[in-house]
Amino acid sequence: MRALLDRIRNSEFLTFNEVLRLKLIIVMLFLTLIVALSYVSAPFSMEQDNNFLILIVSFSMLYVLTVVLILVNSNRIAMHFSIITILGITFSMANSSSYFYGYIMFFVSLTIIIFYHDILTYLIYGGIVTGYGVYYLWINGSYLIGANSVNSDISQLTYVIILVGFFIVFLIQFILSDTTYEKMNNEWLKMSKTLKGYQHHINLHLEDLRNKNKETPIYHNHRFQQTVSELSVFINEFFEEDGSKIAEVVEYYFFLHDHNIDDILNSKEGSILAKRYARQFDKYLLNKQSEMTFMLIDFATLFRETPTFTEKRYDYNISSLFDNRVDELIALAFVYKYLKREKTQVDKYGFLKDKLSHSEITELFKSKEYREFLSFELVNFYLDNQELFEKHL
Amino acid sequence: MQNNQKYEYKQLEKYKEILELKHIRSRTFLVNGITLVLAIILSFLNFSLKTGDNLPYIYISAFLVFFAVNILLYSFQNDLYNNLKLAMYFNTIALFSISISLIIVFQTPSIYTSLFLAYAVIFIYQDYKVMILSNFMLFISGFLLVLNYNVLDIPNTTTPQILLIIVFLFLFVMLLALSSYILIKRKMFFYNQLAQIKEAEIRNIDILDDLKVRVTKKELNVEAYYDSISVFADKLSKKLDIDNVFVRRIALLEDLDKLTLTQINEKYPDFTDQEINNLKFLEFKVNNKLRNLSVKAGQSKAIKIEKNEIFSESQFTSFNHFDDTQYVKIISFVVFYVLLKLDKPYMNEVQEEKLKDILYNSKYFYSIDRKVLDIYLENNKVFDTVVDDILKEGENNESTS
Repeated sequence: MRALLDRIRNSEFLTFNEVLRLKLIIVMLFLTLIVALSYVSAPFSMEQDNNFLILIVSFSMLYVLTVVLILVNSNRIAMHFSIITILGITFSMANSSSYFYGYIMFFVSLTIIIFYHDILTYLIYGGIVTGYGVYYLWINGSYLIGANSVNSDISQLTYVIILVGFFIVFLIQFILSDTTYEKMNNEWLKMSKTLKGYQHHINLHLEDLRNKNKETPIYHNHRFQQTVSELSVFINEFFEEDGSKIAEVVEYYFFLHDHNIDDILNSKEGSILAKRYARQFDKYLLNKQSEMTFMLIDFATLFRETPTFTEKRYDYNISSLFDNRVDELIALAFVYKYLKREKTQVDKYGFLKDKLSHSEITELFKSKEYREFLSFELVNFYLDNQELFEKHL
Repeated sequence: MQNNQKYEYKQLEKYKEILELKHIRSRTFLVNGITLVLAIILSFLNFSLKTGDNLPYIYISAFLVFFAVNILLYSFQNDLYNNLKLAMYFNTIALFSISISLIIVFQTPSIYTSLFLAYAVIFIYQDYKVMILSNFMLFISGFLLVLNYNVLDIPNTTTPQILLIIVFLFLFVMLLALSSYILIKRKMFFYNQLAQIKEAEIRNIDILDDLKVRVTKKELNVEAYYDSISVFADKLSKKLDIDNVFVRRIALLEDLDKLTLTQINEKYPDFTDQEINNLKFLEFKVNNKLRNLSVKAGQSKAIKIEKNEIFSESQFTSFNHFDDTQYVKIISFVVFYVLLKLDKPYMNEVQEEKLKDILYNSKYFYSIDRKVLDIYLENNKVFDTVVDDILKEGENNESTS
């Protein structure tokens, strides 16, 4: 239970699949509670006949199937089964217990579907629940009218409005959330790729420095290899009796630095285990841009001295940075000259050598991606006067 | 006590507030829009009841007050973030109050479920405090109303069934609260990631620039830039047939890193402080804004986002990938650790105590397999000694021999 609470508390650090798995476990706990409560209340809310027995058997089968699917990590299918289970319970309850109790169950089902926070799933299953709920109210609405009700038609209409309203409000909120998060994720992804671009350049400079200083790469340093091996064995001793088994894998990790991973993966002779390790280690190699090099540089950013936050710190659009057209033009001239004069591009051999030509800069300025830096107005000005940019900058 | 924010970039909080403001603004509009629709429906139902009293007008007035407060708070643009937060709490209490009053007035089971609708509208905000407030209001009001008023007085409904409905209400609130909690955590995570990567970009450009200077052994020739921009500005002014309005600005730019602010003010009396401040964005030597912009512009060529990359799990870097074996998780962490203990051109060796503190109190805590990290945290002295004995001492011995 504590592990479950810990996972909920740190859910933002889990992958999407892990979050879904966590939600499934919670839903299954809730389903168990709902069924147990319904069972306890059965003598006064549900007829003790074959239908009840069928319901219990069907629920148990669906429940077991969902648990098995969670165990084999088929979380998406398990999600559908858990929803089908709650739908089955809701429809059975609606038909065999008190009418208001049945009506409440529509909200409980919708809540479980909402919990998964998947727009398509909500649209399909939530739509079915709401549609059935409206039909149910149409047929049984008169049995749900309270003793204090002034107008039975209005009461019936209120039930429908609230159920449909509940469904629609959550649908709107899903659409808004998905759009916002997709936009944010898109921006993050774009930034992440840009960051990888900088880090590629950083790695090229590091290689240049190493070559100039005639240093051997760290992954060829046998003391470094030995340290990694000793520490890996030390950790592994907490997991395995013979902790030294990992030393061979450490050796393989360093071996991979001198070989092409694609060749190993495509080789017909290599063992499945070797290929598996090669694929997994690929992202941690030190001889190329990898997650390992990314995280090292990312760690280094913690120690950079930087000024405090100002409103336009992350703004790179020339037009919003300056409120004066003359300043905008000076900035545009500066950017143009930088792109034309400095080595900002990697050539076909992977070296940081290329500068951009005038026509390449013009294409970039006109591209959709550059709206982040330049307004249409500024680009049009550039296009009208590009011969001056080309000649004097 | 773990403190996840101890090693966050110091600029993060302010930027997250800006992101939050965008979010809260759109959510406030949405809540107001939905409330308007609900107000119209409620008024229609109230008038349809033809009770002959002032009830419809009382509720219309209540909704008018609701919208007036929202408009008022939105109109104070000075501290919009806090005003909208205030509007958020007001709306939560107001919507539940309207719903509760409707239940007390009509005492019918149909109107009882309006509490769920009020909750759904408030759920839009996705805010911790609002989540606690609305869950509390939904459960307590739902519970007390059932006990003290005959709202669930329906023929053929027994007392145990009503009690069961209260238990279901509790489960309903619990599940929605959990849903809300996970969603808010996710939202905060996205804000954090976005704010973090924006700051990381600036710091990466700094590292890149430092290394570039070390490799090429020369800094950017800013004077050459100013010279050619002056020539360009002159030709442009002639072409456009206007006075050369650039010349004094470029001269001021060149002086920005040479003179003090007082000297600048004396030399350029025709420029206001605000104009001089804005010009600092153009200055290359001290202020890095234009350099960062140019480097970023050079990097932004051909960055395309594929549809399948959005929300892909592979985009997050870590040493704790779901499908990695235990050996890979151990080795990747150890390599990372040992490299941090070494001097590099872009970062000095990280001292053991500092390293342990960072790994425990930062995002790295979640990037490393928990079992592996726990072993390190409990035995970090052993790790340090191994690195000292094998790697550092060994190298010292080799260099002395």
